[in-house]
Amino acid sequence: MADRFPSRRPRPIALATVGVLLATVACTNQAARHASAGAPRSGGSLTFAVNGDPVCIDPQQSPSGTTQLAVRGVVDSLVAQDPRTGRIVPWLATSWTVSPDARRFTFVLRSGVTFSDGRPVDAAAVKANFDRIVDPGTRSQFAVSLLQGYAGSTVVNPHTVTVSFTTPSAPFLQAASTAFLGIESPASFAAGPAATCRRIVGSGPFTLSRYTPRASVLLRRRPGYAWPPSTATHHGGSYLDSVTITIVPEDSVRVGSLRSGQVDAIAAVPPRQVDRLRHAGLTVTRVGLAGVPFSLIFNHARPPLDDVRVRRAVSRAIDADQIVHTLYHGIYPRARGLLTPPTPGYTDPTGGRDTFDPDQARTLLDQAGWTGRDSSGYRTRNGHTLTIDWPYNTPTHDQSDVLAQLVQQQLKRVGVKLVLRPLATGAALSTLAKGDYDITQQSFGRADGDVLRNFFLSTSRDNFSHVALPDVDALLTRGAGTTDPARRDALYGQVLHKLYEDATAFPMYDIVSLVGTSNRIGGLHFTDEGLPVWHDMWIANG
Amino acid sequence: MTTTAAPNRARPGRLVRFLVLRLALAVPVLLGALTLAFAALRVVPGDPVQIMLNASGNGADVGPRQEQVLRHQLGLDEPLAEQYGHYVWHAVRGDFGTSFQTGESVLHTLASAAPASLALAGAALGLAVAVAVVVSVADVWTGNRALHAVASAAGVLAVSTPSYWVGFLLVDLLSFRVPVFPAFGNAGLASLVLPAVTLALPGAGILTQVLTDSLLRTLAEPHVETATAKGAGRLRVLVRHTVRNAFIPTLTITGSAIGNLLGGAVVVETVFARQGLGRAAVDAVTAHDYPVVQAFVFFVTLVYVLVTIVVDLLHAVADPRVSITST
Repeated sequence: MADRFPSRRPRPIALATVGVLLATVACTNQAARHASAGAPRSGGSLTFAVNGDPVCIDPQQSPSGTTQLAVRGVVDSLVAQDPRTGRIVPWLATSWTVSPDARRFTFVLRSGVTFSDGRPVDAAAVKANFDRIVDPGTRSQFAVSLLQGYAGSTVVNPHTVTVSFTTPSAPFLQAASTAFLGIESPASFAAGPAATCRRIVGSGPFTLSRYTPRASVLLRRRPGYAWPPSTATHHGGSYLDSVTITIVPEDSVRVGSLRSGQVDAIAAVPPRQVDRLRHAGLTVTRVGLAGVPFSLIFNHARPPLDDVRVRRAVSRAIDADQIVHTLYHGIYPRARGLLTPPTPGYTDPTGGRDTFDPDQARTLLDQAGWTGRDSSGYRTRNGHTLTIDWPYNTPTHDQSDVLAQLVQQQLKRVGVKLVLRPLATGAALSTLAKGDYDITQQSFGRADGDVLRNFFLSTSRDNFSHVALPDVDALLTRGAGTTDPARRDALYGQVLHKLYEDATAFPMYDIVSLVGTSNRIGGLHFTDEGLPVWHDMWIANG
Repeated sequence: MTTTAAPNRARPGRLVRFLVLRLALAVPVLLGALTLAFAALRVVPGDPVQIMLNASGNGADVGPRQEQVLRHQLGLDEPLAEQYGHYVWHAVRGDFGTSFQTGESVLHTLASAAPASLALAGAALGLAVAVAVVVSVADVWTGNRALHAVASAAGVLAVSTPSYWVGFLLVDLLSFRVPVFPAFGNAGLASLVLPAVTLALPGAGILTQVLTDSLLRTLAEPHVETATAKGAGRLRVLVRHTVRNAFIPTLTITGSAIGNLLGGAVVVETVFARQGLGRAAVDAVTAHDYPVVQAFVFFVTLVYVLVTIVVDLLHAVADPRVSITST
């Protein structure tokens, strides 16, 4: 092509470099911070990054764990649960009595407690709260499930309220310690559920200053707070002036923000980042959460897992230790039994033995009649291949898709064909509702052995295993009928043994919460549900 | 294209007719978008109520009555035709319903997310256009083959590099290692820089290539040679004779680039944890929050329609050969 601008002398042009020059300045100036948190001091603001959006900040409506984390410092509960012992201790209620049939709970409330709008926390307020939760107009998506069988509350006098149920409900005491059943100011209910999704009023050490959806939640200290539970590490109001909970969904950005000091603490540290953070001088705290561990639930309602021998064989063929170490580097502990260790009622039904025994798996499958082989090496019986279908929700958390692939490899070695079906949320839930699966994965957080009832009571709506063991039903019902902790522990221990013998489900790993903090943070401790207690935390001067 | 004696922009009557016609044509387009969104959401497997109630993970039994009431409140127990009728009836009055997840007015949800998205899209568009103009003019002005090769390659690279990778890279280099910009959030101009750069990159790549190409083409045309022969300097040739002509194809591409900005914004908003329409839409899709998704589709369609109209108008302004009555 001819020169576009004729009669110009050619001018050499230095090539502009397109790439960005970095290098020399890029040495990280994140020198390990060895500054310690020092003694508690009043004042300062804390920034905490989480990975999910509350969507609705009202704990009576929202099922979201982020809502819980945000509002645990805004609403108080009738009682608290000691994370070390699992026992229920006083909070807004100084004492309580339970009827022998565990259907009526009478609470005596502490006097002098007020909401941040000045109104008193009295029996009428408690009644208004529980009545509201069960009212369908409130659109509670979770809290109402903790009040199953609720028959109403009676105001005995301004400081005494009796909560009644139609069936024995011993687990209600533990449920009353959660933020889901936290006590909000009834005056705020008049604005309607959509309004309380944006702003709630409680009696806690913080007030909810502002919730910006998908962005942040701002909590401010409430002056004059004087009624923390005995699980708190100090009396009186909070140390911090404010807490900002920022929503940062991307793992790497959240971790990087902690390392670069843009936030003071983060939730949901990915297991593979734990060592890096610790080497950088930051603290990562691992909190074991109570409830049902991440487990593979077998569907007993259809072949091949309707046969207990096949279920036991599959349980023997899975090397959970290998999976857990490969994927989570030992950060997530291997689960034993269908409760996690911090859960009241936990026991190890395996007796500490290694359950991985592929030879026994093969023997059991032979006994069950799966003795043929197809061209790929999978077992067959009467011309049918031994196929197990596992649909699951994508996007996955905690690499559960990779976990499924590892299980698939392990099952192949004993001749079982595991078919994995990744599905979008809607389709995955439909599949679950229709029972169109052989394996589904479940876990659930709750600091009470009664959580087993959700999944393993034969009449429960979430009985995804379709298990129907009358012994287990009886034990679970009795567990819900007594408030004696020792008795309940024994009952749930028996349930765990029976479920283990039945190979109802395969527990894979215990759920833990990984919280990363800068060393300026002090006083970090957690509720029984693994939520940070903002009230007791302080931050040292920069 | 019809050739007219006088420039069309001097005839307001035609302009008004053009606008009225195009806006009238927009109505079936918007209705079609509404209908498709409605239908698509209901065809895809997944029940919004189930999804809402399972947001805590399975294991929470709120009871069949609660579920039924919820379904009724959301209007999901009505027959489909009725749901559709209600929806369109309210939509034409500007009432897009309330979000399934929060109960908040959908317009309020989108309106609170829109400013951040507009700021991001505006900054990214501005940046993309600026980079495209600078690089392509520099390329054409100097005529240096090596620069041309590098600029072309860079343009291709910019388009084909995934934006989440670029985002992570920028965050790591310019926020974590060297603390220049914040890594997340909507606060202030500083938080806009990295996301805008990430979002602008593919657009800049495309625009650069198109603009360079059309500049070169225009410069090869006879009228440029004539102007140069008559003694016009390089600058005058470029500004007076070339740029306006070369900009026309670029204009069309810019229109669709605006659409791409809306799409690419989702990734950027997630990586940089920004509030915005993209994230709001993705959350709504995952949760099967029908009203929010439907409204989002409607407004995106509206934006496309308006942008197309504006681009066509600008075409008529820029190119006297184009009559605005021609479709």
